Amino acid sequence: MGVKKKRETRRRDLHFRKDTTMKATRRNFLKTSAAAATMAIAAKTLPVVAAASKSTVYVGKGAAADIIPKIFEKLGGIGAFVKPGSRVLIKPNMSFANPPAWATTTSPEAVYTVAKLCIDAGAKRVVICDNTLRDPEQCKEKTGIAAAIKDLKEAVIFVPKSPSLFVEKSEPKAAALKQVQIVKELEKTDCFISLPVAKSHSAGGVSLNIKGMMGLVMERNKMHSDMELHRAIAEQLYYMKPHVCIVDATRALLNNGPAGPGTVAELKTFVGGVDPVAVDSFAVTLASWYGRAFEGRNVQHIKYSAELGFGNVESSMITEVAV
Amino acid sequence: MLKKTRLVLQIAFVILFTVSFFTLTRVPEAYHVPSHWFLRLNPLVSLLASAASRGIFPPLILSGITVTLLTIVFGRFFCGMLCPLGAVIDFFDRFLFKRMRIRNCRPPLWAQKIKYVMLIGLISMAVLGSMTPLFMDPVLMMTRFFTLVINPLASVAAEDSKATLTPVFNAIGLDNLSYSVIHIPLYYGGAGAATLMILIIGAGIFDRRFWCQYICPSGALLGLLSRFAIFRRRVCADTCTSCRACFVGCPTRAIAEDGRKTSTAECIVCGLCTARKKSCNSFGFAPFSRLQTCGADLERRHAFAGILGGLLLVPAIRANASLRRSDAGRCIRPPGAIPETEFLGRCISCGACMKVCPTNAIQPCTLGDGFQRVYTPKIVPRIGGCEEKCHACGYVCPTGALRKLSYEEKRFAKIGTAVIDRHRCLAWEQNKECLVCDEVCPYNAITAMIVQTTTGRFKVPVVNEDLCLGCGMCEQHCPITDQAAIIVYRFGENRRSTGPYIREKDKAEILKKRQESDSDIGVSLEGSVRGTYEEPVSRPSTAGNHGSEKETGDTPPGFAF
Repeated sequence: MGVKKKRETRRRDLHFRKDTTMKATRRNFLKTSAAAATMAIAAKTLPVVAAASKSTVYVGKGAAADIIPKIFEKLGGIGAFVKPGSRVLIKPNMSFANPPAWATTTSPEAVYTVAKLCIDAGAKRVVICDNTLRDPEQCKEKTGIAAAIKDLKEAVIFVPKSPSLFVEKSEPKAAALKQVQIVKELEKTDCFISLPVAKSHSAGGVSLNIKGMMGLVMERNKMHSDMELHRAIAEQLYYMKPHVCIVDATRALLNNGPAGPGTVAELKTFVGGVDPVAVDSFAVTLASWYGRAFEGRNVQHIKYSAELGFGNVESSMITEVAV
Repeated sequence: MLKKTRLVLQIAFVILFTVSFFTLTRVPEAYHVPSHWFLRLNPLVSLLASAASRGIFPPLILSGITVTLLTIVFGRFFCGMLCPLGAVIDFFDRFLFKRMRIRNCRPPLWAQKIKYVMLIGLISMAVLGSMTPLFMDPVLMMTRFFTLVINPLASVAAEDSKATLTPVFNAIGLDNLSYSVIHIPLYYGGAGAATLMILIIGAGIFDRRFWCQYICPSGALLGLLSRFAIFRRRVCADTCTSCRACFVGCPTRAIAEDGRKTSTAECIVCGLCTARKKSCNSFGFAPFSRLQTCGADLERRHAFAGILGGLLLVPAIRANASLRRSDAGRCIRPPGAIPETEFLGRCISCGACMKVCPTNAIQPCTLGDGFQRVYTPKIVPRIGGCEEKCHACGYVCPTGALRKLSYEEKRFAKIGTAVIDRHRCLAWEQNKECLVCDEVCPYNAITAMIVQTTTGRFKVPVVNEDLCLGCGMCEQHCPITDQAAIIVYRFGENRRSTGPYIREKDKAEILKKRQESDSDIGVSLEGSVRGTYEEPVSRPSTAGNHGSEKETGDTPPGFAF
């Protein structure tokens, strides 16, 4: 690369940065504070404002490589989420060293498709991050995720274990999860994509987007021992909210979750959207868990998330769009 | 010539040892590389492990015989070239202790016999069925030192430097490096291993090759074997002027003061003597000569002392309460461990299994587990559970104390049984929604059941002992601080010295049991937990689960209407 070209690239980068970040002028400061104040008042006085509008979920049947790009298209194109040169964090399920057929982990094809989409959209780095329960190396290997993304130079699997990789956050509004250590990487990330597998969960009922985010938390045991679990799961949304949520229901684990082995239903379905509560709520209705049909609101942590105003749980408030 | 060749070989073997050690990993299936071959080289290990356990492990015997034959021909080449501990001792002798050696504290020549007494003592102990592998083989001591001391230190240092260098990685566009996971194994007993090693190396301040000359029982055996070595130091009687150059240069005091006679028992074939003066002596093949060589100057009383020492030590080791049934510690052996008595005779406590364990679950036993067990492996479930799809420890065990198991066999090699401490369990005692144990159990051995307690109906975990293998994943992840509320105990363990773990008639029975008890969440269980609690009277079959659920109106955990 010549010197001139290099300079041009740099200039382009600068230009790009100017567009996306606000300069810290007085006017901008006033503008943002005014907007924030309005929003804060609105949020306080009208907690149902957010929930008043309907949420849309995009549902498609087929292979990951076909459906996931279509979901992103409907959501306004991958470019709306992933800017060139940005950093993306994908949160799949890879906590267990089980083969993909057990449906305890996100299918490697889905992870590959999303990572590839982001990279094609210009992502500089795609971090596939999960704080695994079982041995990290085994999880990477046995889930097939490591093999699937081997050819993607920009994609990297990240299993944060050391406390130095987490950052402590607190939220006064939270009733249960008043403080939590979440993975530091989230702060650097421009786009956070949640990509869980649809599975049952022995304590949470089902494990989808909201429950899946526990994979970015360091001390999960406390959520069981010191807090009301379902509320704590829901309140994670105070600290981290995915920009895009896609539930991989290629296979769904209907019982004995989250570790399996249990009954696996080959649903070959993907559910996508920007509202994690609506996506989860809809995904609950895809299958019957433990042999019974449930609605989204029957799952306690999803219900709590909706009550906290993070999204819609009622089926009447969710528009289903087939892709 | 010999001096240089030896130096090159010695360095090569140290590098090989280090590389072998660090390839002893679980991932990706690196344990199939026989990187633990180093540990099998010592004939003393083959001898003692076979004698003490009254069993033969063919790979160990074969390599032991090979080295024995080579020693008979080439003398104590093992000590001079192969031994990694010898190399480390040489290094420190040369670069640290050469200047600061305390000359007038050199042990007397007869002290060289101590090692033979030790050897005879160890052999007589092994014959009586006891083994103290604490310091019998330098290779195993090095492996143990690397496992318990070097590897943790190196990993911690690597992790720290990764954290420090992360901004640099990011600046130069190699930020993918900062996402790498560094496995940090930590162990009990590192201080003991380090102290032993420091003492061994530090003894160099008194004399060169202190350990090898006076203490090493393996060196003693190799010395006895090399009595008739035909590759030896030859002295030309005509040119020898008895100038004492070889006598002074010899690091193991194998050469007589007149320079004409070499003790094949002490000579480690290092070639320092021949490098000093070439005209009068050389190394090469020569027929046995009583004039030029002598062996270990052993008398009957030395052998007696050894045997007596061994005889006295056996009861001294065994006469402690730790081998009784006791409540001190839980000694859960890794899967595939042969029955305990044989295991104690076979395990050389080298730590290869601890190095290879991906979850850091295998830890050395400490004095609390009994003197005989010190540094032998045990699983500490609170640190890590035994990974389901892993059998690396059996593959790297050099002596067959842990047997090689296929994944299927491992499903039958039960190492213990988990027990729920209901009074400390979050679900049982505090009625919280926890069930982390159920979540992590790889074998579906924990079932969430709905029970009637005095305060209502709650979902609680129950262990199916027929499905539980004792892996300890539940204990590792139990959110209760300090001691877990679900604990793995050794009872129900399945250990066999020979024969397959899966026996056809047992297999059918075990599988049937597992089938019966493999039930889903939602099985309801009547009875009151506090007060007059009764064990479940009926367990509906798998097919009927959901039916029974509807009858009681219970929902699986996490759901509510």
